[in-house]
Amino acid sequence: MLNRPNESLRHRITTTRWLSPILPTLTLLLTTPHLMVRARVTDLLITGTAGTAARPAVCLVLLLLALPLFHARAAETPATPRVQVVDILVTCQSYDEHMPWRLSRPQFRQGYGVVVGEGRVLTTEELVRQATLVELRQPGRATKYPAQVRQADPQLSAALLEVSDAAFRRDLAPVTLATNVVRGSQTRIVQYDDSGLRQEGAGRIVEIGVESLPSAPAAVLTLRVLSDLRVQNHGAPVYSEDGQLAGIMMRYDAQHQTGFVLPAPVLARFLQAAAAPVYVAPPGGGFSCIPLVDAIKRRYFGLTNEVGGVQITDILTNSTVCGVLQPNDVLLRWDGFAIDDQGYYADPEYGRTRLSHAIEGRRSTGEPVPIEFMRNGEHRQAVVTLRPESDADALIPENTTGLPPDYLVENGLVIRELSGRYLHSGGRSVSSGNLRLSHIYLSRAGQPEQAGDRVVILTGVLPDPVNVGYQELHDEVIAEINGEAVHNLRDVFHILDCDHGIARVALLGHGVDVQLDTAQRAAVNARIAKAYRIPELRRPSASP
Amino acid sequence: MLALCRMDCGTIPRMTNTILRLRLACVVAVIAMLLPRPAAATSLDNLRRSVVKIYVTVQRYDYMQPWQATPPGYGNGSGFIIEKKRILTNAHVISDTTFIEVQRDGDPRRFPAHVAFVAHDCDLALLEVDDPAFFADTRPIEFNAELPSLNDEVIALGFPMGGTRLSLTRGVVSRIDYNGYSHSEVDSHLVVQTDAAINPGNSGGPVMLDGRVIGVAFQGVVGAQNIGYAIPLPVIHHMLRDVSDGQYHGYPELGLRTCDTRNPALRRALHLAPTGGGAAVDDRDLFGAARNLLQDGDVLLRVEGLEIATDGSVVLDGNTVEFSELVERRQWGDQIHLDVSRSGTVQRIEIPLRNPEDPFCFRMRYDEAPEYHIIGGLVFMPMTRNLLGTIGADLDNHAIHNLFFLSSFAKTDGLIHDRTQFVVLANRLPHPVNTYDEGFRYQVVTKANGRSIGALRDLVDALQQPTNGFHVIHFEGSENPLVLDAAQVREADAQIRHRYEIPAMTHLR
Repeated sequence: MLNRPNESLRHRITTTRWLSPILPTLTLLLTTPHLMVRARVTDLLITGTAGTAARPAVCLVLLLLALPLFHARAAETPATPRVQVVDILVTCQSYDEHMPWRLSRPQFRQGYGVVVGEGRVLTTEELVRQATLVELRQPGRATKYPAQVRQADPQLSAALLEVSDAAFRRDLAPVTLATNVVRGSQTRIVQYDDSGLRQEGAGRIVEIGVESLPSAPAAVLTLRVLSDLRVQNHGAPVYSEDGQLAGIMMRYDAQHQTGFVLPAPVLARFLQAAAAPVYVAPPGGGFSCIPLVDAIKRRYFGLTNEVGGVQITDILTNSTVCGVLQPNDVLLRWDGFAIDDQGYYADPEYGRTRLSHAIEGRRSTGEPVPIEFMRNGEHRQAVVTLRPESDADALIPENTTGLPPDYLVENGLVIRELSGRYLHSGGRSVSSGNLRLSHIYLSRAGQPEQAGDRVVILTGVLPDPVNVGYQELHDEVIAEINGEAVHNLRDVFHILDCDHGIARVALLGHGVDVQLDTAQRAAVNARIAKAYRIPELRRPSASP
Repeated sequence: MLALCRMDCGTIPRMTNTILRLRLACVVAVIAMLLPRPAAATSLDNLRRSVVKIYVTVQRYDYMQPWQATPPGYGNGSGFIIEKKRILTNAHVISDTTFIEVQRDGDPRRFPAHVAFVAHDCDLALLEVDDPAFFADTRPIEFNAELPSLNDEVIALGFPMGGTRLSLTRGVVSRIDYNGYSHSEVDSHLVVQTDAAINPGNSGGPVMLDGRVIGVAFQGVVGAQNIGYAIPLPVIHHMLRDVSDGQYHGYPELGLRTCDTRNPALRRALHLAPTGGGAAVDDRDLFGAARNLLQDGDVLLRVEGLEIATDGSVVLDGNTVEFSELVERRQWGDQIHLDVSRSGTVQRIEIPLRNPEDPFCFRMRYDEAPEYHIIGGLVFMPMTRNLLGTIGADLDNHAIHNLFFLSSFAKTDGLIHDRTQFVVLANRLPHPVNTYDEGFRYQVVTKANGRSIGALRDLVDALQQPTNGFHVIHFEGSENPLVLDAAQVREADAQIRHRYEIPAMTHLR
């Protein structure tokens, strides 16, 4: 029993050695034959296993077809197996949001990537998020090869890896991305078991829509694929009937046997952007809107029932529509597409689709887009220039990807800017934490009064004789330091550097400022750094 | 998590996020009365005649449909006869009741009773019985002269878990401390903690030391062992003195939050000596008696001559208590003297203990019909703790989260503005006129038809005058208006009133 995996492996390699040399012939011979045969060729290419035991008839056909060439090639150097799917092994660490100089213990993730070019592998962004080491290997093989994350886009949920090892690169064969995906069409989903044996399941695209995954900052065009293959890992390839890559699996809901698949058009878009010298993120609208179905409200806004349109509710600072649209405008058309009263438009490829795809999926950042809207009963037109969707200018950015939080530890006070990630830390829901902080987040996270404003908080106090009396303070909003208003952490650093210490901190809702002794500042900070094992008391480090 | 549990017996459960208050159905009969020990037999015989069982019929207001009440429930608690032929019990025993009866131990007769005074902020009430026969052969139970000491042996008398015969449990005084009073959900006063078993139905019964009352049993802790609480003598006497003029005024509130002044740098900044006491004023409640007489950063050095420690405590009668205990012992309208250091200068400040009613402390409300106004099937109500309890703490709902935030931070974060109430869209009675308005539920109204809304009455007035044929209502934190067609609303209101059987579309206090 124990040597079975080895047997399987050996069998698989042998089979692949037979087949790899004959590929040109097979392609030549089987350009238009029965679909099933063509699909099996793709199987062999992808995995090298070919499922030979299960499909002897197909193999027999292939062998007979290949026979004339086999003897001629057999005398040459055995070819290396070429694969389209690789295992991705990720070691990752996240920052402790409350003590941001600390990293969590290394954690391990595993998923799949599909080969898209010379040494390049495509997978989901979430898989390689916060990675400290990314390694690739062929399914069923033990040897791992380090890879670099060349580009990761959380908005598109895609990441491009590159492996430099020449031998491993030789083993890779790129997939062909499907140019389009069709609702109702059949797919095949591929994954591998622990021994490297291929598992395959049929799937059907039941829905093409714009979905927002919990791990992603934005909604993106997504396929819902119904399949009974219990997909275990991110990045599993989903092939169309003609063997092209229809998408990669982002998430699988085993209860409903539904996979959420990042479709080929989105992947192609990402790869195109990643190939450019400078990566330009896809655009976003930068606004929130709600359906406008209520006839009374439509009349109030000066609309007729025949015209669609959605009601704008919020505008993100420095976004595509910032300065053009405002709350309670009714957006009627985007890029020529009429928007219905529920926020859908008729997409030429996918039919009735949510507006966000027209904004994010059909054009690139920097392009001008005409829009039409109603304001106070008046029809208006404008042209907006598409900008990337980013909450970097928000009052409380999400920091979805887990960038290292900037911070300051001064006299034991831990100071940082509030982020969505901080509020979510520990797996808690935002609303279960500090009511004041979560209220700011829920009510106006995207709305700084002035550009660059952030919510600066006192995360907690590291107990030391210098800060007795304050050690129970935590999750407090800092209004002023040394008598100066604080709008972001830069302000804090600036005050600290100018005043050579923090002597006074005013907290929202407190009538008495926190007062600190700055006379022994250097010694106190050194003592605290040593006691609490803090390698750096601030991030970013002070300028020399 | 431990939770406080009031010890009456009732039938209507009510949950909050932090405090679980139980009203258990009385299904367990006490099998036998514990017999008193011979040494105390005489006094206990008297006690048996003066500790009474209180039967109540409870009917609360339904805060989702505020024009009607919940089904009646039945419960019981305890009480005891004091001077002037009154029965002292807990406010929570007799709150929201429609009918009260009292019964003496061993006497099959029940006598109707009525509430003479109720003090919801300290969970005490006084009952009166019109029939003098009820008081035959009874003697008022005497109060002890002072607070008990730790480890004093006490007994708790009452009618726990139903039953018609008196129950006696025994224990010691475990602790004397401040604690929250779960009846109002916002007030804290001194409590006596005992390990004498106090169970549902004990509420209002006396806790006694050597035949004298040292407290009124009122709540316990769910999930803990042998932790029961009694309302101690200072609180009882405060209430009895308060009502002596025929009216209950309640506790005056200084409305101060202080912070510790241990930190050397803070002491220097506050011009205090490196060592010593004093607590710094960190927040002054908008409705507190000290609001305009003290300043943030003032350091409270002495109250009525007693030194205040850095953590705000004083030593009173040998016990360390919060300095506010001295305020607690004053009556509404009295004065209190504070020695205050302001910028290094010590001043003696006299504070009249009169403070306006605070609509934003969100004390639980009893015995009063909730205010509401219905238009187009939309039920608007002032935010109250009762309403929040009915809605439930579903903090993942942004609108509900905002309500709970306001209930905690509206005053400290300056969000009251010109309001006397936060007006909330509390419910929607489905009708075609409001089909698309469900998304506005639980939001706080800021404007209606162009008028700022500071109270429910403002909303009622504003909705008398539609804007260009529309009622336009704006909510906090959103520019998305709720829009109703004024003509349609007029027609719909008649249908809604009929369909939902609403006696009145508006109820204002």
